[in-house]
Amino acid sequence: LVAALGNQSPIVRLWSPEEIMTTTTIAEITILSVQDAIFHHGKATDRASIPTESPPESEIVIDDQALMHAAAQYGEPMVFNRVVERFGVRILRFLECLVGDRARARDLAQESFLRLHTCFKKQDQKRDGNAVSLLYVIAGNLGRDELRRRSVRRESPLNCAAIVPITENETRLERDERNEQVMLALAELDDDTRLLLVLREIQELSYDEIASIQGLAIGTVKSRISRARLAFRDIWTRYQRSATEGAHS
Amino acid sequence: MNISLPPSCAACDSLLPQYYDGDLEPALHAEIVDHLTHCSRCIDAVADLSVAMGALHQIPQPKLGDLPQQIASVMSKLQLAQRWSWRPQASLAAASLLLACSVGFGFWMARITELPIEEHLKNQGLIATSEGWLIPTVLGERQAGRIWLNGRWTNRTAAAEQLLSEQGYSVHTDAWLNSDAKAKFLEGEILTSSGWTTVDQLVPPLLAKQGLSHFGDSWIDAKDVQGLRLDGSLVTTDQLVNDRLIALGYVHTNDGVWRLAEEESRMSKGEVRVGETWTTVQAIAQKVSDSKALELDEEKKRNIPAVTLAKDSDAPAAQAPAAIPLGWKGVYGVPNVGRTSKPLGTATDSLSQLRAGNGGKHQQLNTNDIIARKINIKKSTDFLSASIIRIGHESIVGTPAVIAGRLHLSGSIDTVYSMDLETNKGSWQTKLSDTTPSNPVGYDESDVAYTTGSCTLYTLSGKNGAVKMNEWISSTLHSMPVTNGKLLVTTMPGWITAINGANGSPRWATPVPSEVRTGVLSVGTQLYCTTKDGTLLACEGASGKEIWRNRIGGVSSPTVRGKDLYVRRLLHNNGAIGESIAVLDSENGRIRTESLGSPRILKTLSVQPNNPSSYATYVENPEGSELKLTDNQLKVPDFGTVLISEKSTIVLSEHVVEARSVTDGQVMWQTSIPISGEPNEKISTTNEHSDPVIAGNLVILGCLDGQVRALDIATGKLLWSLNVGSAMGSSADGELMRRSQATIVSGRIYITTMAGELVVIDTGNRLLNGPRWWGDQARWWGDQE
Repeated sequence: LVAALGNQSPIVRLWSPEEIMTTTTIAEITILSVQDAIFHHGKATDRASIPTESPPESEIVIDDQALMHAAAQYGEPMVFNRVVERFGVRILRFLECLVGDRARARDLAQESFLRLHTCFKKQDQKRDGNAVSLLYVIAGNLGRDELRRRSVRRESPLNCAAIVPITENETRLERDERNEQVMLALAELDDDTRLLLVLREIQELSYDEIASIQGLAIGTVKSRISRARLAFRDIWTRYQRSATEGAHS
Repeated sequence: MNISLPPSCAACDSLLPQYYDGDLEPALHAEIVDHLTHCSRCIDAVADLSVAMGALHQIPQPKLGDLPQQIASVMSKLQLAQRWSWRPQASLAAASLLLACSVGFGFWMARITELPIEEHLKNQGLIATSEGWLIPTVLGERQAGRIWLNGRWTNRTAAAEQLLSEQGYSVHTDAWLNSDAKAKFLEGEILTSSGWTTVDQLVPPLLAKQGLSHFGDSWIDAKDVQGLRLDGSLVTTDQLVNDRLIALGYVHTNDGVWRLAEEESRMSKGEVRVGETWTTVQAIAQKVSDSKALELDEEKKRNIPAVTLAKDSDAPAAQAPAAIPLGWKGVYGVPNVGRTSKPLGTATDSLSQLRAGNGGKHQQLNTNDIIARKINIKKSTDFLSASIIRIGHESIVGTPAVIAGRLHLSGSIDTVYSMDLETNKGSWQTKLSDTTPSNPVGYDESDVAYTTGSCTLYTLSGKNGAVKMNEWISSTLHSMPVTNGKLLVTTMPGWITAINGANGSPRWATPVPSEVRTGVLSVGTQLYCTTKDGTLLACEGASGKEIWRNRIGGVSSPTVRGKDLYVRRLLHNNGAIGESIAVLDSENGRIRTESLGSPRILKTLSVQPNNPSSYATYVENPEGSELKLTDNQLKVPDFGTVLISEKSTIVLSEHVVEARSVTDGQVMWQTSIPISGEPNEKISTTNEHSDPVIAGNLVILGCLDGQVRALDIATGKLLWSLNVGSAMGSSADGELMRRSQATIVSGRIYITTMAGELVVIDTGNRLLNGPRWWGDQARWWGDQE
């Protein structure tokens, strides 16, 4: 376990022979050991304090990469569940922005995680790679597949028809409508441009990470993201003006 | 873009995203800043960019919702996450389950939606178990009891060992120990329920618990601690001392004493050592006798010059002083001073007259002194009459004796009495110079002999009670005298002594191992006795020469009939003390037969096996049970002698009269004597009742409940009983010399009671006789007359 989780996760518990004997199976011991390693990294605990359910977030001191590493190394569903909890919101937001459809994004996020799990299982070498990047690659590919399939079917979930002026008094409604407008604006970008813009501005990934995900040179990524920003600025400025004009008219 | 040129608005616009990121080179950044200070359009463009990016940033976080649960649910359904089937390099990675993954996720999902999941899994070759769907390989491994650990299948033992070793444990001999424990083990410590200790600390208490003691360099049984380690072997100090004594010429004598061989040789000849010289008891006794006789002569001259020994019919009653407080005063009483005696004068009182309370022609009888009362006759066919007689203020104790037609009685204090059975008249009384007379014993045809509590031997004329001889023998006499010809034989502790009854001179003394029980038995020319260490001994009556001895644990005075010597013997039987009747050859003392009968625990005898502080200890040895002698063991009381009839032996053991066949020793009958009333604390003998006696077909005994009982000798059935109002039995202070037993002569039964009264029962059968009182207690000489 120490080897699997790297230097950052030494096992700090020792098991007395009595505890070994009273534990029902060795498999259970193994699981508990993994949980110890993940949730109680760097901190001595005794047996009684091991939580049977998810511990409070504050106790999770393991970083994204280590968590991915553990999940990739062990097929323990509980560990993988922590991955979903950790990255689920990010992937959902990423896919929502990418495909512009909240429900569909949820389906795709689920598929993304399942596919990530499959990859963990299928390819041993992935454990040494960047599993976070892999997750974005999977999600991005699924999103693009979705968009491609949608274009083939001539579907257009990004219906821009209804743009309703926002009112000052209805803050919540205003925010929802503005979100709708942002989504519509994003939808006007081409798929690759939108992907890059979302990874950079919304997922707030570094250029290196984006380059890794996209398999592009970092310079290319930078220039493409610059263009994407300008493109979105133009679209969004147009939206703003039309909204202002609509309000005036 | 040529950054060396002043930036146009278009060039500036293209650089705005990088400017926005702060990612421009400093020079270019400065140029953009400079341009923006002049170009309002580009400022707007920057503002628009900022607003647009802000809009992107304000996209709210989506809610995670039940996404993790959905994923977990799907995963568990698909069994994608078997914890033990994970590592792809394992052979199970090739399991068919993974086929779906390789085909493609979309296709696979489509397949799942088309078929029921169970069908799908079955099609994939999976097997349903209670733990979910398993691939065959996994199932096989699990059924083989192995588990998946660190990338391979391993058995549980190996897994446990691996986990232990990861946690700092290691194998030491046959145990897994952590480093601390191992260090202690290597230092020689061991872990017990009470913590770490060492063998050296642990073993001594355990050995001590097993009764072992530390002795030198070894642990040995506690009882061997007295021993020594000599040349590698354990020897007891006893052995060493014994060997040393033998080497020095000592011999271990039968009486348990180490003596020099020469000394033993002399002692076996009857010699004793006084200072450095050897002499004989006879010689010493003669000296004592001579000097004592001299003193007495002088004393007589000094104190009692006026009184001489009485002769028959030469002591007129008129000369009797009136102030004698004891006996039949005024009528028969005469002063008995010193060793004198006085005849009872003309006393001719008969028992029948006494019984009637009627003095007859002897009107002068003081009824205050002689009280007789009738008692109820229970069964008149068995006896004609019965009387209870009290004489004087003194209790009548012990066993009466009938000698030459006279009944002799002992008083409890210092006076002895005689009655003429021919005439049923009181004959005489004699106040002895010493107290506590023993039972009377016949001597030389018609005379009577007594010994006393302070060990003076008397012979009195049977006719008139005159003292013929008196001799102080020793400070301690312990048995009634017996007669053997002209000799009176009595005992001292460790000795049997014969005295000339005519003049009191010692004749011989024979050493015996211990005190003699009850008394010596005189049969023909030989004497037999039992000593308190359990030895049976026979010696010649004339010389005292020992014939044989045999230490068998005898507890009663012997009884002899023909060549058979009967004695009661204590036996140790599995922790219980029982008794037997042993029959010895009277010629050589060997046990001929022994009747165990029905051994029972003797409750009144404080004998505990293997307890040295108890009265007696029996030690198992190859020859049988042996009585070990200690001072305390002398307290084992004398058992009553064995009575012998034609067909049976009779003994009283506690409260049971038991008859056994003389031919095979089998118990013929047992009769329990009922106990009523308060037990008399003064009675400490085993025979709390009087000793039984055989007369004709009767076994007669006086009982503690005040009944005189007669049992059928053939069946043990009670023929009759008579309540005489007072218990009968041997009094404690007279145990040795005053054992109580009925005397039966010519159909009359004479018994003394604990109340000090004489009971006379007339059976009417003139042919009924008990054993003569001659020597020891009951000796059966066969029916007489």
